[in-house]
Amino acid sequence: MNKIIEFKDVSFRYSEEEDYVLKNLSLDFYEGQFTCVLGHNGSGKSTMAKLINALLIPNDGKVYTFGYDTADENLEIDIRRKVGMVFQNPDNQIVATIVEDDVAFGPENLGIPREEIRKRVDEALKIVNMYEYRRHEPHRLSGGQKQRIAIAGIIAMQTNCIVLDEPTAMLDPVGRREVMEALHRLKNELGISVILVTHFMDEAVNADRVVVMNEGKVCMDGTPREVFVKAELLKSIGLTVPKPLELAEKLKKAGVEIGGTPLTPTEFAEEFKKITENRG
Amino acid sequence: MSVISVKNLIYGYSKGTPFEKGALKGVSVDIEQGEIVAVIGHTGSGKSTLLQHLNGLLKPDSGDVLFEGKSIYESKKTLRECRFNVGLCFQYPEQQLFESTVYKDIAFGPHNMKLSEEEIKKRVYESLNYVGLSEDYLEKSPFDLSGGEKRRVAIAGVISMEPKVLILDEPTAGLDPMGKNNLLNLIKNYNEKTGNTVIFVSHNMDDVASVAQRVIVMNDGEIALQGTVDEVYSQGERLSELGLDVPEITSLFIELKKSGFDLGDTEYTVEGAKNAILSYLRKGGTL
Ligand SMILES: Nc1ncnc2c1ncn2[C@@H]1O[C@H](COP(=O)(O)OP(=O)(O)OP(=O)(O)O)[C@@H](O)[C@H]1O
Ligand SMILES: Nc1ncnc2c1ncn2[C@@H]1O[C@H](COP(=O)(O)OP(=O)(O)OP(=O)(O)O)[C@@H](O)[C@H]1O
Ligand SMILES: [Mg+2]
Ligand SMILES: [Mg+2]
Repeated sequence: MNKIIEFKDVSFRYSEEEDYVLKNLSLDFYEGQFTCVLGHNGSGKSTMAKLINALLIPNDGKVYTFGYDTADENLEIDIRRKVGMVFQNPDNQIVATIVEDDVAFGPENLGIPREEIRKRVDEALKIVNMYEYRRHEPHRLSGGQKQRIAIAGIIAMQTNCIVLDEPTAMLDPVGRREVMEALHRLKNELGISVILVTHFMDEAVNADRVVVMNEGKVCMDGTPREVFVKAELLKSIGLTVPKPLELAEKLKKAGVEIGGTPLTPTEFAEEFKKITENRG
Repeated sequence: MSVISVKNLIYGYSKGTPFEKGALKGVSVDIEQGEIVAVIGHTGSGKSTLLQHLNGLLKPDSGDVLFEGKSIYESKKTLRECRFNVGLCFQYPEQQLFESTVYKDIAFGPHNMKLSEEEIKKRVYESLNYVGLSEDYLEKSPFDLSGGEKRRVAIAGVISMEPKVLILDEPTAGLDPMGKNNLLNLIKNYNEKTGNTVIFVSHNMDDVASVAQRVIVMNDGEIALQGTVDEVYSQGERLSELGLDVPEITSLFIELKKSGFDLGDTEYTVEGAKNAILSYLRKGGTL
């Protein structure tokens, strides 16, 4: 698989008086993959994300994004053409006074033709269910509505890689499901690489790869199943496992011989059928 | 007597513009002393708007909010009294944080209440501890923190006032799983220890199930449904019409029942599901 982002022995701190937030981080991301990044509050996820598109520059080591050295200021525009980003707080990225202009801002900067932008903006707004708000002011919306606008912006850009920092934190259950489906469609239909920072374990279940950060370092890296099987380690660093697996673990402790690593309700039901069949 | 009484609140944003929006369309509800109430509802349903009326930050177009039986809008004095007794933590911590250090930010409320320096200090340390941050954070700027750390400081800043009514707008958003669990325990402990009322908004149906005594479901500026967790969560179809969902454990239970396992009442939490499954297996002699 093609490497699209490469962290080579990266250390970063926000100021000289402070401790390093990232410590000798080496980490690669690959083309066409859906990668979820998990980690406790303050573990360095957002910092890592901002280093990808040159919003921050390493103190030591190198970050190469699509081969471009992020420390080279001349390459900033090239990098932003390749990687789009949704920030943790949507207020930080509202740039226009009308919703549809805000969503169009990214694609405009990429030099995409007018009609194509029009089409993409409308589509993106429909995907996040905000089409009827297209003429509204983005500042005057509810918390979750602002978040939806930010997500529409990145959907419309269709950059090769998109990085989303807790994009669903303020969404209602249906909105969260819709956004997750949309991100998987971007990956499957357009081959867009997705890097998703999240605290929702159920969002990580369908990822190709899960990276777990702890105190500025990568502490686990693998498929969702490989990562979630290590429930004790995850708990020791402030995380947890998906609910169906947590339930299976609890039942095992109480003497029920339920097998496998059920990550979803359906997988749990299948494992549960097996034990009752064996007994019966 | 209800601690807060909301009487037929009507509120619209952007009045007189083409975007005029009825955010609250006649909401009435009584909050009893000592309750833990969860407010849920789809994006834009009016949750934050409602909460901002409960401590008088917004003034309704019509209707009234009573705190301990008296209108909070009656005079400056009643409004001020309400502000000290009803503590609101905003949906985005950035809306709330403004001091130069974390210490000053958390001390702001107690300071305004004219507590002694000693008492203020005690409350700052206690609240910080409550939200799971170490003392190393006290001299940092609240703006130089991660998203989840900001959330914690903002919550500490409200708890330090020990409000009679603690109101939290999406307090678990952005917290890591351990932080989320701690916060849910904090809500329970605060309520049990002080007997004070807690009202919180959440999109997380699991969190709501684990602490709320009453659930209020908002839909398009109105209260669409309310009752105990059981009463509300048992209406799965109605919930999905309202843009919501049942907790993950509930969908797991529904899957099991579809596969023919007669597990009894639907469960919402991992602990509840574990017990129901164990008793099912014991009854069937498989355990
Ligand atoms: N602007 C800043 N100035 C100084 N320190 C910062 C700044 N932003 C973050 N930090 C610190 O760097 C560390 C990592 O922060 P980061 O935002 O990367 O964490 P995170 O993993 O994204 O956490 P969260 O889950 O809470 O969003 C934290 O300890 C935080 O206090
Ligand atoms: N400052 C504002 N100006 C104009 N309209 C607003 C403003 N804030 C919110 N609204 C509108 O009022 C309605 C209710 O918003 P509110 O913030 O109360 O929703 P909410 O239930 O808290 O949603 P969320 O779950 O997204 O936070 C929404 O339709 C929203 O677009
Ligand atoms: Mg972050
Ligand atoms: Mg809100």
